[in-house]
Amino acid sequence: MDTDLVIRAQKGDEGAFASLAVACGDRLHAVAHRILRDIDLAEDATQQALLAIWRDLPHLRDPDRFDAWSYRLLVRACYSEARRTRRWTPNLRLLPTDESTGAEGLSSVVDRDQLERGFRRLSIDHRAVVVLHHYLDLPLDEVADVLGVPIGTVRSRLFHAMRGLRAALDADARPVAREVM
Amino acid sequence: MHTDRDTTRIVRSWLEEGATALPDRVLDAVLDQVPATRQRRAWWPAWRFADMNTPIRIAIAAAAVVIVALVGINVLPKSGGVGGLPSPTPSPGPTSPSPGPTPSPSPTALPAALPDGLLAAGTYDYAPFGTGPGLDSTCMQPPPSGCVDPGAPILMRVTLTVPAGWESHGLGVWIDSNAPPGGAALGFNRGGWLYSDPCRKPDTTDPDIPVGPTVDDFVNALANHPMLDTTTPVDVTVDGYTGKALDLQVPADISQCDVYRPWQPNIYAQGPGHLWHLRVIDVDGDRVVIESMEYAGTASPRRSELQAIVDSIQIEP
Repeated sequence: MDTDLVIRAQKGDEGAFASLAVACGDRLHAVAHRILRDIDLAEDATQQALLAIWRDLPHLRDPDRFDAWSYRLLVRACYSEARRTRRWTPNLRLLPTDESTGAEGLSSVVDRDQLERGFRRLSIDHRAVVVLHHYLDLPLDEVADVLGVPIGTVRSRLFHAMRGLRAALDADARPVAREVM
Repeated sequence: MHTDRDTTRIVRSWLEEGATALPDRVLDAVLDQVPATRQRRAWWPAWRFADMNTPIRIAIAAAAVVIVALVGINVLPKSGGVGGLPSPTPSPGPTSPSPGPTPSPSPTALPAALPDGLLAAGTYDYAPFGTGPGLDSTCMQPPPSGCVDPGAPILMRVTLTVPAGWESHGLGVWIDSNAPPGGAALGFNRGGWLYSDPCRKPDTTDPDIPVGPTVDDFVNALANHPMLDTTTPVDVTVDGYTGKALDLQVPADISQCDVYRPWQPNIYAQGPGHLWHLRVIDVDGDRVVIESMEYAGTASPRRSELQAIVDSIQIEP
């Protein structure tokens, strides 16, 4: 990120902030969409995060850390959106399916479907860790920094999240799947 | 069955799918709101200014003053009083301070924040909580689970008298940047939830000690906090509004903390040994914390000036 833009925006330069928002908006939106799994919620969270960035920029002590700081505000906005709508916790009850697949050669469509269901069962805490680490490729210590939790907590969340997703994928291999939430 | 490696590969591939572009309408909506969304001011000097030596700072300040004087000398009103004007007329010259707050558009309108920079000695009327969203909150935004913000904005206005040499950062006043060894400052906040460990490292999580909305809730939480060095609360009255007063002594060594921050929303300690004099009062049902700050090294005249500023405070809900 252009540090000069950050510094100018910190001082109240709205034009500089507009350039910042353009530069980081897509990235934040992509992360929000992957955490919330809902395009409308993601747009709301991104909007909320961008406004929070503008409002709190004077409090960012090190402009070089803008990216990590912006992720932190975005994740907070995702929490807020999730709490506000609760649409991310649908009470799904799927009917038994006739799909019968073997352990080998799962189609990508099935994988996606199972992953989507498995991911929606995760808390925002766990989703954020998965997205920050596996989508943004942030090392675990940076994930811990963004989320403000110990690295051990990040490891634990990642382990349980990936175990849940693996279970979701494996569930498809069973002859008959019945999912009750 | 999938191996861990399979799962990671599939998840990474799956995460690559999905929206990547922020729609223009969302970006436009954000940028439309920016002019009406006031930035929260930081209470510490910007690092760049902190790195400047004194002659450069003085030169910049003098240049700014000259520009302001040239542009504004024929525009500024000549008398002050409640309504947004400094009482004395600023004296011209390279060391003159910047002009006072912008006059209110009407006698009943909420005055603006103080102007940034060196203030002319005089009486100022302003809104310490500003007029923007979140500035008068008792919760971080978004609020931690369970933190209920009173909701209604505080339109409180404050009148205070500032001697020469003090600066404003919009929401309060300070001298020597409120930095050690000799700085001092006055500011306002609402109090809020406390941190179990005020030595924040990193300073990224929400406060975790819930605090209720009243004066006693906040004062008792501070006084009973095992890691905060506070004095015993005593009764206090500020411009007729009652409450409690106590001091909070920041440790002499906070080198292990990213920041030392007892509660949010609020500033963090501006240096080791920062001493906060807290007056927590009830202003018609709204808790207000008046925070005057100094150091052991703050010169006696500065302390007297700070006390005089506090004593001059008049509050209009």
